[in-house]
Parts: sequence; structure tokens; C-alpha cells
Amino acid sequence: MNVLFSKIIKNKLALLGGIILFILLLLIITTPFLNLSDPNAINTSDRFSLPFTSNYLLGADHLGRDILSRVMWGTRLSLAVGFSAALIAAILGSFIGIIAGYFGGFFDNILMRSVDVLMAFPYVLLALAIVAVMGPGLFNSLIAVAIVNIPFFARNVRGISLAYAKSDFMIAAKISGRSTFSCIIFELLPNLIPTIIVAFSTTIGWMILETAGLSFLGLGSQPPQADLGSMLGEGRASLIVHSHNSLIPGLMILFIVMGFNLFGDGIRDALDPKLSQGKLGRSKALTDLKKNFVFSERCSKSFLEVNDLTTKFIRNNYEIEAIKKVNLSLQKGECLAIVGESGSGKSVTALSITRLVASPPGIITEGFINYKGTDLLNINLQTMQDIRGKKISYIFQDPQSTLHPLQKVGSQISEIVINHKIINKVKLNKEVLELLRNVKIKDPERVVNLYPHQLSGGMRQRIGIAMAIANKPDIIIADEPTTALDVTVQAKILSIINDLKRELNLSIIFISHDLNVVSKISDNIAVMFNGEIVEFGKTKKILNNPNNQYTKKLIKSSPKLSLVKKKYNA
Amino acid sequence: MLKIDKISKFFFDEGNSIFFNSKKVEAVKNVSIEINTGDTLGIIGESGSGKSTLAKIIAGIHNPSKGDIIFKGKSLLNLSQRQRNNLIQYVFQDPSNSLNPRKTMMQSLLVPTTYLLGLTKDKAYARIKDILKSVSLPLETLNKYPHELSGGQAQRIAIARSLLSKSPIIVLDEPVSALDVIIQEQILLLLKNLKKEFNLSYIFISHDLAVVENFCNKIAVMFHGEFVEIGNTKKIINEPTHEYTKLLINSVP
Repeated sequence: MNVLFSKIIKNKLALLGGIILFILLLLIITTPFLNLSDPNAINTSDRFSLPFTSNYLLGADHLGRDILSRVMWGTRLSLAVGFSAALIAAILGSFIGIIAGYFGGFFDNILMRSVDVLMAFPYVLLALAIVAVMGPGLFNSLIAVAIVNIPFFARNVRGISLAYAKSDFMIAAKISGRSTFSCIIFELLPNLIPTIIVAFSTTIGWMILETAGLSFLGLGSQPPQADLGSMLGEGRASLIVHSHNSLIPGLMILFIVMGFNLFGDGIRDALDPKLSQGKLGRSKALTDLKKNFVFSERCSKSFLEVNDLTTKFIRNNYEIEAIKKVNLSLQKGECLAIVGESGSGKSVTALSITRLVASPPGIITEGFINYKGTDLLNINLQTMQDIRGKKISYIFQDPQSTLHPLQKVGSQISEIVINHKIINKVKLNKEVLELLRNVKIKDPERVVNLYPHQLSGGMRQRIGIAMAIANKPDIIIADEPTTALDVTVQAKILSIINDLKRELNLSIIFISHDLNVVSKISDNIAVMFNGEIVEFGKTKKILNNPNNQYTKKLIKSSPKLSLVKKKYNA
Repeated sequence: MLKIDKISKFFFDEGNSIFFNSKKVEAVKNVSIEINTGDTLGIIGESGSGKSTLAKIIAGIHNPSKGDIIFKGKSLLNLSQRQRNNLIQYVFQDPSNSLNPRKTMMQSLLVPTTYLLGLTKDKAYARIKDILKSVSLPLETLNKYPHELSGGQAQRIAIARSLLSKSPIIVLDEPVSALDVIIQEQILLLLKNLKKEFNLSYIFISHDLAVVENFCNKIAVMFHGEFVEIGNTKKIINEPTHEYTKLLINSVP
């Protein structure tokens, strides 16, 4: 709660809105005690008195009634009506949304189609129709505005309930003995409250405006009762000559709606987890380097060498060292495995090599990455883009999320090829087919015309590998390439990677949490723990004779098939 | 003790339900097995083989389309949801998703003690304290929210929740596959100890043959919704008969 409050305070516009609302609240609370004159007392001799005249601080209207008093009482009424309408809409709308989202199927269809029917009419027209049927009056206009706004809440809440209804924790609560009703009230509702509050605070201003609109048209409050809308309506007749009659209630409406909207947006920004991480924005194409970064003056002729690489994540108030002084080296045709638990910095290391760590919040503070005599930290974007994909390419864990869902896989592979060289169409197609054959796809002519969702996980990962080798790179960085796959498929993918490595003389950086997988494929292993490389050496040596405590623990914990004595001919 | 009798489960693809030409998908086909007291049955298979669906049917989260589940001679399908949950509990794969993000651990753990055991607050607290000791978590954990716990701690809480109701059978649906190996080993050890302490039977769903081998005394291999091979662990691993089992054993890295 305190965090929420401080976030709203920090947002200057929201603070302004909050102050306006606070003043308004103070005004409507104190109105009965202010000794104002009767808002409905007619005094025709004082018609259209100007503001700041003897008895009338804000002047008098066409019947000589005190505008100050009418505005104060009118604000009270307008706020009360708008607030009640919003509350009714929120409760009914959320109720509909929860029922539709939680139970789904039949209920969902019936309820949401009815809501769609409501939404098919323009807001104000629908409200007018409802008031026309029910007859004019403040209470009826309140109901009309509430009904019109139900769809907004219903749709918002339904979407989220739908997602939560099937979530593990709801099922877990159910098998812990909760009834459906108790599940909805005690498990689901607490998770919906933020959404409902956000929807409420962003619409209440609009709803006050709508009730004022109905009153303006004479369908809301009935004379002599004053609310802001009806005052505006009555003042309209004398708008040109006695403008203060309509200007004052108009300004009041402006303040109210502005106050609510600014404050409401502030609440939304504070409650929305996507915005809570700070500014929305794209990350840069190159990971930032620290200010006054000291480039290494070393000159190395080795193939790939990483020296003292340090990457931090910096947010407003804290920083984390994701990797600390990482040292690695990789020779041509060699496979280096980086092993460690989740959060140990394996992926950050891999991404830092071609400066792909998202910036902000990532920042490289120290280090030297030598690739065939150039420092990869000391080149411009253009050069780096030539290296990425052409010299150093990546295979990711889940090809489902790295492949474009709406493009055929063939065209996605060709795109990578043409990005780095000029080639005619016939040759290009031939090359794409050849690439697919390289990753042991038996019928490439059929596969090029498929979309990613038509392929199995193993096939998708083969496409991912084909894309990685498309430009005959020197180095492939494979980030947990088999983790999402079944063991039988994993075995095939590993053998494909192994074959390619031999045929193309590839260097591979293979990131994994699984020592057993790594032992099949790597020449060297680097064990990472807490952002540091705690042990680095030949695979055999590390597995059979580890020095580091953590490495020993890791080896001991890795499950191994012990009973099996022979390989089977399957 | 528990007999799964010719269970099948169909799903209907709701893609084009408006035209009623929905496709019937058979996730579990005519599966039968018996579990005795003290057994740890491992169900292994690839993703999409139907093992998770079967687990949810056994735990009473889904109902089977055909077949019966019999506990000590009585059909579970005729019992109420709460009676079933008192006999069979379930632990999810991803501990952070199976705990309500807006509830403290205390609030989450009070659910089974209140609804399944019907304990008063004092007695419930005493029981929760006991169980928390069994899963080796400090008392302070009770005041924390899910996002304040590590994966291992959250899974311990989820296990504690399934223990509270004193169910003799617990279905463990890939309980360690979201965890790092070192934590994985600790949780498996914990589960072994709890089994002895509370005289439990486990149904352990996994895709990892190496884990199943050292955790389970019985294995059922599931492939395309069917059990293709059932037997004790040693026999299955040393003398597999089905082609898929052989492939599975060969593929283990």
C-alpha cells in the first residue's frame, strides 16, 4: 500500500489530480455547514447579478438564485450520482465478467453476447433511450448511465477471470476443499480487485460527464433541483450575454473530470505491473557500455577470448551484477559448455558476447571480448550487425517464440540468407532446401511451405538450427536448445548439432543446466555459479575430477540411469 | 489399495463448436493399473502422451469419460469432491503458479485444514506447524507471499499443503522438473522421507527416466494415451519389451 502511495505521489499529474479531488471532497463535505443561502430561493430583482457583487460571490442566475450555493450543492449531487453509477456499473459488470470468465462455455456465450448487444449502441443514445422509457429524473438517469457502462467492466473482468479460472492455484484451492463459491470469493476476487479499481478510477470521470450530459438535456435532475448539468442547460439560454451563468458550472465539471482522470491514470500506472518496471520503451540495438568505459589495450590473435566481462542490471534504485569478471576461451571447431542453475548468469554471458543484453537495464561495465583480433565491445552497430547471424549466430531454447508465427518457415530462413548476401531466387531456394537437408529434414520441399505451428517442437528446433547455420558462421551460441524437448527428440537434436559441428568445423557455446547433456557434446566445460565461473576445464577432467565444491555438488545431484547395462536396438 | 479400471478420457476440440463438427481427441485410452500401499508408481512418457491428464483424473480434477477408480473396493466417482480430496492429493509442476499470488502461505495452508479437516484455528495452526517442520521450513515462511519464496521453498509449501489433509495417496505431477538439479535432489529426498514418516503412496508423473529410476519401485510407460509397458523398475529398465521404452532408455543422456 505504501509503495502504491509513493508511486502516485511521484507522478506529478496524478498528484495534481489528487489535490483537485481532495479540495472537491473538502468542499462537498463542508457545504451544509457553510451557511450558504438557499440554492432554490428565487429573487427575481437580482436576476443575472454579476460575480463579486454585494450578496452574490459568484453572481445570480436567470431567476436570481445564488450561483455559488447552487454550484456547491450541484457538485455534491453530480458527484454522488456519478459515483453511485460507477459503483453500480462496477459491481454488476464485475459480477457478469466473473460468471462469464469463470464458468465459460454456455454462460460465457449468453452473457457476453448480451453485453455485445449493449455495446452495439452508441453510449449516449442508449442512455437516452433508457431514460426515455423510464421517464426523466435523476434516479433514472443514474440507472441509465450505470447500465451503459456495465459492458466496460464486464469485458475487462471477464478476460482476467478467464485466465485465472484455469490457473493452477485455483485448482489447488479446489482440491484443498474449497467450494466453487468460496473459490470465486476468496481466491479469484483478490486477484481481480486491482483491475476493477483501475477500471473504476479511469471511468468515473466519464460517468460524471454522462450524468451531467443527461441533466443538460433535461432528462436528469428536474427543476428547481440544481446539478451541474442542469445548471449548464439553464445557463445556455443566456450564454452570450450572461456567460458567467454557464461558465461557472462548466468550469466545475472541467475540474471534477480532470481531477478524476489524472488521478485515475495515476492509479492505473501504479497498479499496472507492466508499467511498474519504469518507463516503457524499446531496448537498444547494442548493450550500453558504462560511461568512461576503459577499453582493453590488449591485442589477441586467438579465436574467441572473453576477459573479465562484467554485466550489470541497473534500475532506478538498485543494481545487480549479473556476471562478474567472466573469463572464457574458445578455439575453432571446439564446443564449450556453460553449465549452471537458473539465474547463474549463463544466458547473460551468451548475450553479452554480441552485446544483445537488453539495455536498459543492462550495462556492460568491464571487459574485453576478442574475436579474431577485434574487440567486440569496441565496434559500431554496423559492424556488429555484420557479425551477428553471419559470424556468430544463436539457437534459442524455445523456437516457438523466436519464429515468426505468420510466416512460412522457408521464407524465414531465406530472409536470414539475403540479409547477409546478394543471391538470386533460384539459388536462394536451393540453398534453403540444402539447409533443411543439413538438419536432417527428410522432405524439405514440403516443410518450407509450413508455418511454425504446423511443426512439432523437434522440427521447429531443427528450423532454428538451420537458421543459425544459414550463413556458415564461425560460432554458434546455443542457449538451452534441447530443454523444452522430450528426451527422444533431444537425443536427435544433439546428434544433429554434433554432426554439423564436425562437418562445418563449427565452434559452439552450449548453454545448459543439464550436465548429462553437456557431457555428450562438449570439449570444455565452464561451471557458473552466482554470476561467476567457478571452474573451467576439459569436460572429462571436470566430470571425473572436479575441484570446486559447487561442481562436485552439481555432479552428485544430477540424476543418472544406473541400472541400465546396455544399449538397446530400438 | 487403489485400482484404476479401464480409464479413458476424450476431449472435444471446441474449434468450430458453432457448427457442431468438433473433433474427438482421445487423451487417455483404456488405462488400467493397481497401486498398493507403500508403492511409488512412476508414470513416464513424452509431452502429449496423456500422463498429466491421467494424473488429474486420478486426483479428481477431471472426470474420466469411461472407466472407474476404485479405492479399497469403493468407487471414488460416487464420492463428493471433498471426500475424494481427503483420499488423494495432488502436487503441481510449477510451485509458483500453484500458490495464490495474493495470499500468504498461512492463508493458503489454512484452506485444507479448514475445509478438508474442519479444524478450528488453534488446532489448524498446530497441525500446520508440525507439517512445516516435516518439510524443513522455518515458521517465518508462513507470513510470506509466493513471490518472496524460491522455487524449492514454494514446492515445499505445496507439498506441505498436500500433506495437511492426511491423504494416503499423493499424485506428484512433475514436481521437480521446474527446479534446478541440486534443489531437485533435495525435494526428492524430502519426498522419500515423508513417504516413510506418513506411510504414503505416490503416483509420480515424470518425463525423466533417471529420476523415475531412483525414486519409483514401479513404472508405467505411457505412449499416445496408452500404457505400453507396466512393471517393476528393475525389470522395465533392464528388460524393456516395447520399442518406445527401448528408445526412451537409449535417449537418456
